[in-house]
Amino acid sequence: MSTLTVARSSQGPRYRGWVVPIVGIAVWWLAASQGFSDSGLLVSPGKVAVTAWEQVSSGQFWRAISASLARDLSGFFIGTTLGLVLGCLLGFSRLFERLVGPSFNTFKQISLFAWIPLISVWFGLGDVAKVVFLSLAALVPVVVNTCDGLRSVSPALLEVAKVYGFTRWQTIVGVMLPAALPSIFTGIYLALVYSWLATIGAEYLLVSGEGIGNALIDGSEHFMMDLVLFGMIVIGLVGWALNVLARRLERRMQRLYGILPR
Amino acid sequence: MPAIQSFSAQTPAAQQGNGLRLENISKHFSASADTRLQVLDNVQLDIAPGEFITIVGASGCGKSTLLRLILGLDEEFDGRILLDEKPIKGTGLERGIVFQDHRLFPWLTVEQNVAVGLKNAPLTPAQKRDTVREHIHLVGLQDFTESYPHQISGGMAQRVAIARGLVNRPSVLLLDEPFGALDALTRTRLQRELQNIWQHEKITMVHVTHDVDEAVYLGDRVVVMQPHPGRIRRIVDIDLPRPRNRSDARFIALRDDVLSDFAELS
Amino acid sequence: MARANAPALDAQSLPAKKRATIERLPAAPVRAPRRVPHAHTAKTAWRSRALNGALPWLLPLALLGLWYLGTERGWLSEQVLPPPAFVYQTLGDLITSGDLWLNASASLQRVLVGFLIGSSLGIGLGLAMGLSKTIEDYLLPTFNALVQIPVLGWMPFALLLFGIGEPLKYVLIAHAALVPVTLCTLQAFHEVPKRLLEVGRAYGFSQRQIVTDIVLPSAVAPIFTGLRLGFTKAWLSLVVVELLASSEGLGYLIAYGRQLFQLDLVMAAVVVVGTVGLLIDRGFEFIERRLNKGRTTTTRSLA
Repeated sequence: MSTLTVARSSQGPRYRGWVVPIVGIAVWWLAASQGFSDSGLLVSPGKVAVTAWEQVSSGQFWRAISASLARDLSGFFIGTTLGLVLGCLLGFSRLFERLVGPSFNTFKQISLFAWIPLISVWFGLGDVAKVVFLSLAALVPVVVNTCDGLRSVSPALLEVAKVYGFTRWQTIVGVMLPAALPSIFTGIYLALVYSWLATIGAEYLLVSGEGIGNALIDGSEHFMMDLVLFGMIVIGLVGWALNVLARRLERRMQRLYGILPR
Repeated sequence: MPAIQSFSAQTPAAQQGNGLRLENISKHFSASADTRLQVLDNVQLDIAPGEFITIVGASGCGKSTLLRLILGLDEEFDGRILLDEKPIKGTGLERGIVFQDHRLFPWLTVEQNVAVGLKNAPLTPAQKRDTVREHIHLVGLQDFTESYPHQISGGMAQRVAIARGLVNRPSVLLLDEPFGALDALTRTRLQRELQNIWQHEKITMVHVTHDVDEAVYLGDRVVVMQPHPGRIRRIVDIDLPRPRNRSDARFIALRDDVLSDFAELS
Repeated sequence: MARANAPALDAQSLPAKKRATIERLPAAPVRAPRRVPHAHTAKTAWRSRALNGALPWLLPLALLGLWYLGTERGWLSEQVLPPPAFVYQTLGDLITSGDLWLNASASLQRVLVGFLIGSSLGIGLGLAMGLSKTIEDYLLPTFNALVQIPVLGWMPFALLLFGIGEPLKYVLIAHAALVPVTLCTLQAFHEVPKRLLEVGRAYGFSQRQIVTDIVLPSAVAPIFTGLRLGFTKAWLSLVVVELLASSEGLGYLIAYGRQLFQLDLVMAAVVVVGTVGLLIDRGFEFIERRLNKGRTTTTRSLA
């Protein structure tokens, strides 16, 4: 599964990992309080904390994050559902795969964000456009992984199905789908990650409405470094939460199947 | 070296039909337009109902291919395969198989895996459950019905595969080097258990192996095959009472007799 | 989970069953084989191969046809979807006027510089952490935490620090490349097959020899996979950054076209972006495949 981190390999003392961040923050605080630079960009950690508190308690933060998440999840669900359908079709039918597969492979090579201008012309700048874009972002990994998983079902197991007289439907539901499940889950997890990344990008490019991305761009336009830093921390936390989720799912898969999804 | 065939003087008395007959089985692969690889050449074999036949041969003699033809996974061949006087068509529940890699479904428990054998059988769910339980008991795994394949050892997984092969009571059970992937100790144990199961169930068994010792231990008759092209070299009667003793003089003599064929060929 | 061993069976312990009462199941319904094998002559083989080769083109051609019809019949206004001929013409204009080369080279230059900076830093960082457990202990947790923030998340921060000029692009693209390269490099070190290391130890290799003769050669392929991934991310970030903040480049062309509602320009630029990205990725894939002969691929998961 896609985990954006690599685990530590050594058994060294754990406190070592804290040295750099703590020293870093200390240096930062010192530099800020000594007025090291007068560009107005060097805000102290304290200021960031204060801004964070203001944002959270005034409800601004909650509005922004819920707007972003709402769009994110809608796009994720739509994209995943369509992706599963398309992926299954590509996986089950050789004919369909020959017809649509190569076109889809070409399509997915194009950087996702290149589609935004077209989408903005067709759907405007509002929520609809964003959700369309997010669905696209979620759809691609789901299709790829679902199709991949279905096509790589072990032929040994398929022979067992043939020996026991499984009908085509029984083979699909009883053998191919369960065997492809780890891949399908990988695809869905990637869709979650990609749609979150796309959410932020979409808010930069389709600037209307509320959201975390909007807040960040706002902050940068108004030279409010503290807001920008706060926004970054929020985004990082969401990414970390997704990571934890991935590890949970991975362990579940392993318990059930005894194998690690790839 | 021309193929020598010897049929046993008396075929075991016919029981309820279900004899397996291979008539002039030949198969070739066309590697390209002008090269032909003869995989099997005019294989003839008559298997009586309830008989335990072992097939030995070196790699490339076509023994696994032969099994796949009997099983119906491969339908391109010359000749006829008759089960109970009727030619076989494709796969069918009356011919069961145990593969070398157990091929259990990793997402199903032991009990569910055995039930796969009954997926399309015309039984009520209650009957299916009972038969499945019965066969799990037969292979001695009644304490592991809820375990998953990755939680049990290779030998146990292979027993589940045997249970699955038997659960729909086929007329013939084919075994394709079922113990090849197991360690020697487990192999010996499972050979004994397979023999017990056979004596209990009285199902015709066709057992392919490259282990001469195993072939002589298990079979009523040992079919020796040779490669290039694959054909039957000879058939050896194993006229020893069961349970067989590997240290018995007659056992050793028969085993050495069969082994001598391979010494000649190498 | 401890593997258990079931007790052995002997004939006595099997459930008693009388031979006469063994019921055979009613014969399963014989189903006709699903496909009728037909004689494969050379002619039919050729024909089916030709048909197979033509299939992938059906969908794009159909879409193209629909597009053409749509603009001919006026189902869609020119603003929404320009006729295909238009896009083709615009593409031709871009090439002949030299605009395409101008912008494409600007983009390529950016991505190359950024990628080189990012990947060399990435390999260096990965190497440092891979070779020295101490360094890994100090740096990896912080790195893991910072990696949670995607490139786009860094962008406003970078905007404030660097302004809109070239350094901004280099920094962001370098960051996009750095992350996967570092992670893949580090993982390459972690995943050196233990059994090879044991051979080294058994033959008395010095620590240095183990690194140069075992670890580094086995790390080459995963590191390259990381480079390929890094480039993909770099290309992706290039497009976004150029869309948002640049005055030349392929992404700029797209944004410019959108602003002027010249969708033909937008689509032409998208086609170029896709093609260039595809070509370079194929190049990477080719080299990766040569390197990976005889190995099990390990880092496909860090997509």
